[in-house]
Amino acid sequence: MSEIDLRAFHAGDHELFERLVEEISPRLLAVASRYTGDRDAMHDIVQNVWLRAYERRGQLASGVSIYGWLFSICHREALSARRAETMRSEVQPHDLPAPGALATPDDCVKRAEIRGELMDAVADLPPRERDAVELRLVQGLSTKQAAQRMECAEGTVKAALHHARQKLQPILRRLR
Amino acid sequence: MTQCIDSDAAVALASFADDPIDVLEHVAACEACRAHVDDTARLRAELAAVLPMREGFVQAVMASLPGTAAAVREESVAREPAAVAAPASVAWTAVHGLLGAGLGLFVALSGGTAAPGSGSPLLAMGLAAAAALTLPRMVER
Repeated sequence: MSEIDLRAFHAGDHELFERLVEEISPRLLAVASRYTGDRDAMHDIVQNVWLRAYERRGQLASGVSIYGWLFSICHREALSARRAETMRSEVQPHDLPAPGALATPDDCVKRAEIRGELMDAVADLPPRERDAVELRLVQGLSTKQAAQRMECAEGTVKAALHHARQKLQPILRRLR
Repeated sequence: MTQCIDSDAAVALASFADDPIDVLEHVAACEACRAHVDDTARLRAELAAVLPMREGFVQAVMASLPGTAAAVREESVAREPAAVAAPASVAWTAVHGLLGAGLGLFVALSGGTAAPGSGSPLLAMGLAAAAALTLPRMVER
């Protein structure tokens, strides 16, 4: 995702918001799917995320990844939605293992739970570590580009990524 | 390995080491490096996952944001019942006025002697009706 015009974002530029909604919603829906199996509920969560983001648009600081910021909002919205909803009983298609792998329905449910734990752990990362993960691993920026975006030294990006991986490693290993 | 790396991956690999082939051989032989790569790929796959939006989702989100034309329309529709209720409240005020005037005339004609409980059930009923109609309006205000 390209860098956003922070001034336009703070001003609530609707064209910019529309572009962001179109670009980022599919990823937020995937995050929401870790908390609920209901498709309508996922869309409701993501719609609330955008509403909150619009209301709090002035809080997005320079040097902070917008996706990381939205991810935190999405996590909180999904947790409150989960409190109000019975946990899913059906296994979603994206929870199914790769073809050929042997897995029982229990395994699928367990994997879904581990994925939920992973999302919780990512949400608990300090903003700088979460941004490093987002910019380097998901958006594929180089360390130098990530450092420019985060307005910090390259060494800080490397260290943040290292610490994030260390924290997430135990959960990632359980997903193998 | 299920498929060859694409040119972007080859360029990325070549850019971070003097001898990328050595790096690849090391990664293939080193358990820690393989675990590192595996964890990173897994984390990336989890965080970069996407789900398709339902049709009209972007428009629905945009319409719900404050200040959009659609949101303003919805807000004014929500306000409409109050606007419709205004003429009715004017009518009620007129009815209360008439009742009050009627009651005043009644008391005047009875010579001001018929206090409640002193033998004029019509006056008592009139006072009760006026109170029942007027009090809720006063409480509202």
